[in-house]
Amino acid sequence: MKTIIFDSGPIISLATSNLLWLLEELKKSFSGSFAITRGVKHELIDRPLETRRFKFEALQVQSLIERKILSVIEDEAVVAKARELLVLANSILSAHGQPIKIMQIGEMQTIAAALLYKADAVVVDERITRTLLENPGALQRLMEKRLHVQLKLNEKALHEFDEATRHITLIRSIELITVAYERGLLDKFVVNIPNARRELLESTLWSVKLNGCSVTEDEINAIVKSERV
Amino acid sequence: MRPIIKEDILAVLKDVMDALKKEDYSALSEISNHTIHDASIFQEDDPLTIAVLVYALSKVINRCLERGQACPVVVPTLQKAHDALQQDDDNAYRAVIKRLLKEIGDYDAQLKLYIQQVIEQARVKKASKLHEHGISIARTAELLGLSQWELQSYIGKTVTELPSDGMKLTERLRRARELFQ
Repeated sequence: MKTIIFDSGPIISLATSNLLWLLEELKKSFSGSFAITRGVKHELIDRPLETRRFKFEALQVQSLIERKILSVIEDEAVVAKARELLVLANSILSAHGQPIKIMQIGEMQTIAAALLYKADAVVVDERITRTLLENPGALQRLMEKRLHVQLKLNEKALHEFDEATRHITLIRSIELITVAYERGLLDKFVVNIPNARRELLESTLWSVKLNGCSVTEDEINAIVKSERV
Repeated sequence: MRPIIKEDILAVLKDVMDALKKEDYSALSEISNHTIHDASIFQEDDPLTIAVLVYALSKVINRCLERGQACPVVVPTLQKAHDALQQDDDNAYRAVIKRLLKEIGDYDAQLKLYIQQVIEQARVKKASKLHEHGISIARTAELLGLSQWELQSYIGKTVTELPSDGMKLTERLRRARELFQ
């Protein structure tokens, strides 16, 4: 069975953009499961339910779980693998003799679940995680530029991390929205205004960007251009 | 406390006191970023707390000025913190900073809610700075005790995205389309 694993970021981007309902529609054309890990569920639901802000968004995510649109991976092997990956990820770069803790256990649970469940893709909206997986050299350059210090690279840790994660396919909420748009899932919002389809696509892409999906303006423009709307 | 962090915090305290004495309040916000490098690398409480404190102080002072109110007098307390740290009494330093944060929070009953919001905003603001320095959103949220919901929404609206260094957009789109065929 096909599986897509979601990090907390894309669920947050979609929920705060009033687009969480798209997951239910997308799942209808996906013969497989959409899953999150226990750590991601804690951040998405358990924690905001204890506060006032984002409680309603948390309820919407809980509803997706109860209606089996999203499943929660409860697997100790994922937690153990995540701890292993976290140690590696957080020892790749160091400064002043101190390894820099770049990542957090919840993010590594998502990656660990993708590996153990042989996921077809992982949806990650935040840039640091994606860069660490796809181009760690770029992350080193970014951090050196921002921190004004030369970082030491732990080649062994990087090699082990890269070996473990190199086959993971990463996408973002922005690509999911584009696919949803192409499949006509957003058509009910094509209203009677000039360039209605273009406005619709742009508005949804900008909404997830402004709610935390890491995507550049150029990329949004490229998507809109490629859709010829 | 690590010597490198101590040195930077002492410099920040001195800069803040100088700015306050010169009534150069606009400098405070910028000074509040001076310990972000330490916070990113060492991820300890002290550089984060001083960053949050100075940023919150800058906001509270600006608000007082806007309202024509007297600003909180903090230089003597900052001097105590500075002296304690210079004498390597880390515990005394932390106690003074903790008391100062509370004093700012309790400064004015009318401003109490605003100041609490300012301190919360200061944590979000400094968390976004850590993220800009290469720390993941989840890790920065964890460090500052924030929810990812709150932090991600703020970062989305304030942090300028750099061109992607990873997979090209066209390739990501191709893979996403394949998943739903």
